[in-house]
Amino acid sequence: MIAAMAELDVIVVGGGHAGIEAALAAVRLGASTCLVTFTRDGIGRMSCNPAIGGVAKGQIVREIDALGGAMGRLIDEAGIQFRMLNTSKGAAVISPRAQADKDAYQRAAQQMCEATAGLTIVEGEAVQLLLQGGRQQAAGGGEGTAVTAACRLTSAASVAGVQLADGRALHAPRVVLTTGTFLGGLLHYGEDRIEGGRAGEKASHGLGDQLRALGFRTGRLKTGTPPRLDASTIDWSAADEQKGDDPPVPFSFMTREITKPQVSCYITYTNANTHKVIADNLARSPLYSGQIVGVGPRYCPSIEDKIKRFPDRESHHIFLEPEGLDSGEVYPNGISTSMPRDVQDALVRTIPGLERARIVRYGYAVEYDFIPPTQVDATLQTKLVRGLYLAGQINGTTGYEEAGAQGLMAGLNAALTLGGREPVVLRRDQAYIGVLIDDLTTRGTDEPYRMFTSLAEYRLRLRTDNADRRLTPLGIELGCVEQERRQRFEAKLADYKRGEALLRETMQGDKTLYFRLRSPEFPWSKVLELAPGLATLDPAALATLEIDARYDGYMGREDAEVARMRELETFRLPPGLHYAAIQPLRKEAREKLARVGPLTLGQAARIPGIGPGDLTVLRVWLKSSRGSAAAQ
Amino acid sequence: MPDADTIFALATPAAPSPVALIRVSGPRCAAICNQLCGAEFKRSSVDCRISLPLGEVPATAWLLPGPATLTGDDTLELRIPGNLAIVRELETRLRALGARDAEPGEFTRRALDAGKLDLSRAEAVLQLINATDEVSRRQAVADLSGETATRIGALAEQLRGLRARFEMSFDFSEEEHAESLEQRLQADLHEFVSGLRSVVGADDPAPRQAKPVIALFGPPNAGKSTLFNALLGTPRALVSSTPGTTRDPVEADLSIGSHVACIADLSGVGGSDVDLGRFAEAARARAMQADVLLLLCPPEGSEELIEELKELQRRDASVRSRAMWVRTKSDLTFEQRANPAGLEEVSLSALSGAGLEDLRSRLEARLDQAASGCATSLLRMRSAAALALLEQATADPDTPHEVVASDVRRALTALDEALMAEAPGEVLDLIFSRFCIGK
Repeated sequence: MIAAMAELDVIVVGGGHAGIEAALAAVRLGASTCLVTFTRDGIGRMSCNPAIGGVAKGQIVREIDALGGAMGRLIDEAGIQFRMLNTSKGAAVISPRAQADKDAYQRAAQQMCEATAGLTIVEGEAVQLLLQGGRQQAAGGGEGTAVTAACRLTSAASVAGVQLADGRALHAPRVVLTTGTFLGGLLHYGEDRIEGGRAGEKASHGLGDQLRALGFRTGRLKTGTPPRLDASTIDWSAADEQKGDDPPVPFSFMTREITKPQVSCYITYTNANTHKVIADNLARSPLYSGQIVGVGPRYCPSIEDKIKRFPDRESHHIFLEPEGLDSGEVYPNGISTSMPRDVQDALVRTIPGLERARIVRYGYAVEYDFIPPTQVDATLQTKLVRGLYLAGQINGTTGYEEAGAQGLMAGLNAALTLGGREPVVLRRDQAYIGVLIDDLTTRGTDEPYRMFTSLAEYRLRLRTDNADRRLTPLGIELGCVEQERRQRFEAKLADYKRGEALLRETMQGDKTLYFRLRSPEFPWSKVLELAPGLATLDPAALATLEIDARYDGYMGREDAEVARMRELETFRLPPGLHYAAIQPLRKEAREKLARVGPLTLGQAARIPGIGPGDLTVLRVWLKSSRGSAAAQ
Repeated sequence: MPDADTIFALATPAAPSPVALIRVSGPRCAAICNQLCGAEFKRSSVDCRISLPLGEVPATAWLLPGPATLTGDDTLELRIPGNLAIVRELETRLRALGARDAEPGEFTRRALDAGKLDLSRAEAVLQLINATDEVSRRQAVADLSGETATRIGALAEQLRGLRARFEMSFDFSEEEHAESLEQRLQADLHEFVSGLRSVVGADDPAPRQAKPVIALFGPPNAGKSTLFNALLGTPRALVSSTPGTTRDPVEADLSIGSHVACIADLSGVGGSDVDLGRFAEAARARAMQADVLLLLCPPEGSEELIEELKELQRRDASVRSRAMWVRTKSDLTFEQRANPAGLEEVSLSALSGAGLEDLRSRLEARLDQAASGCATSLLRMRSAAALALLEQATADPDTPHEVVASDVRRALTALDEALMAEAPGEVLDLIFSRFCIGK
């Protein structure tokens, strides 16, 4: 059993969305991997909204999928209502979203993990990291010894494994922490507080304490969730129906069609009575009584937040989302709350359709520790401990998709560096995943970070339709993409290229069809008429080709900016550069550069407060004789 | 910034002068030369007329094909009448022809990359780059109290609101009131562009600090007045051996190289007299505003001066890059007086004249650098860039919303850079503070 794991390469702690991607990615790269989770059934649990995707998040799921990740395939298997958002807007902001049958999603995730050769699942609680190297002050030094809370690292240490609560030790040179909201987790139900990472599950303390003792800074965040309702006690006739797309469009590039039965969601509204219940009880909300210290996400405000900050709004939307085909539970999206139980009962009853609704599980807020992510580099490896990677909510993000993306990159990089290969860092013009990780590691965050399309400068390039063309070739090069996907992608790419050649060669008047497509009035039907050879090509390839052609003129506007950004990205800064010694740099610039320790001049440029003059000085200094000496 | 770009910068001071020189460097020089002057790009000087909205402007163009140039690239130097309006129109034209404004120190950096500047002088070059950058920043700050800047600041706020509405329509399209905010978005954007156009196109009132200021600062009787007179060649200030004789700051125009600077003799610093204390504060304020600050250290050394320098640096760290350490009365002693901050230094005797030429040539070098760095202020540069982006965005009504939104974002970044404001994340702040969203 554990003896067979003597040759472990990577340990992933936590079986949530980040953990799953990390573990599976490491295995795809050939690493012998172990996933540590409290219970097997906890793998793939959706703690909050039973949905995947949304604006910007849907793009992330496509990107995870393009690199061979799991999330897209899991939601395709478990999705019960699919909707493509922003279809009336341009292709750059179209995003897929789907409601999931929670149990089906979890089962699919567990099955995928169990069926993966090379991945071992261990039920247990990781309480300490095992470290080696670094000067330790406590007694009992030597390889693989657990570091007690009294130790402080005085030089670079590396990770050697994890210690479990039951005394077992797992040894591996790479550890990926994907502990979600479990570190120092505290659940708030009104005035009651209990330790826990999630309803019904305990919190984890040892790791958080040890990380602080090692010199990591931690912060406190919070997130909330609404009560769950008994579907049979809801009067559905009082709510508006929202149907899903027909036919539903899959997330994964590998899914041919969605076979699961589809359902509708329903929309209802809060009203003045709801608001009165909340206003009358505001003092009992842990957010407003000062009981909760952590900072919450602005884009998932609790209903208390909404009422307090926007008292003039007479009603707020509530989306009644089924948690599964057979589950009998409904997730009322829009009334996230940590009010006491009796207040939740009262407020639910004021809502049309929910007058007789029974609360199956009460809403609550969870406060948890996170590691401000400037302490992690662009590969998601911590700066303090070599071989230790952090991914997911532990880095201050919110959302399954954001977690999954980080897990994927951390898992890939943990495995790549083991083989002596270069880790991979995605650029901001390459993927939303690149924007996400760059924002976190260069600017940090002090509230739960979530992706928006407005955060991506090159939104026109980072589309749902071209995620595979952007990332699958890289995945193929890295070796993290399955054979079948590779074949399908290469066939689609070949058709894309044939289609593109046809469009560029066929003329209408004095311009090519490719150029003609820039005008929105020029219909695709006309293109097919003039270039009938296109009809034999893969429709998916043609769909993305059309979008590229239509955007061609506009993307040209960004080319200069993209070229400039890429040039800065290729200018690597020597590791461990002693900024304090660079006299010509402004003092403020020296401090900021030292704090972030950017890997490239491009990353340096994005540090708040660093200007073009600073970059010039840095460039020139590195070329001067003093600079090149320092670089060695 | 890729060296594939063609850059330009004004190489002469911004103050009204008979002639202005714009230097262009990069691969597009040949094409630009052709477009502007109709001349073939080979090593020569050509007289031509450049067609600008204002009219036909007489110009002399020096065509300098690389690699035997300052930067190693093809270089074009355009000498035109020194009228600020003409300069601006030519710059707009250059941008339209595919060149861009040079970043602070960029010409020097290219020269260094091309091996044209001795590497061992790199440190001195960097000091100057920093000084130039500081001057640009300070010019922008000086500009900020001007009318143009206030209007541009207000426009930036308006644009931020427009951007928020665009982004609402994508990132929060599921929200209930997203629809209503989208109406009129295009119309409002057009209106905004007109507003920006009128501000950018307008002529600035005479720039505040058209003349660079050289300040003389130091303890009583360090020899400020003597040096002042020696540089000017006329006995303008009161000179006596009683400390504290100069009360009011005394100023005069001083000609240095091709520049006309304002040289200011500030009253003595330090001292325990309450009366002197009042003037000392006024002196400090002027010292901080100066483009070049000469710190005069008498033969006996000056603890007060060292303390004063620390105080000035505490208030504004950039003072260091503008300061020079001047050991006066070098005829009286050969003693070494420590230059505490490692500043550029000069020894002179105003009485005997020793060291005066050295000081003059250093002042000229600094004024040259300062002028070329800030002639077209960052504010003006970025506002023009923002306008160009938005005009492009609104030119075609069929442009998809998300393309317009991208241009709006970049225009806003340009304005924020000009106003030295911090950009990313603010759109979200605005959205969240104004609109109730989120499930």
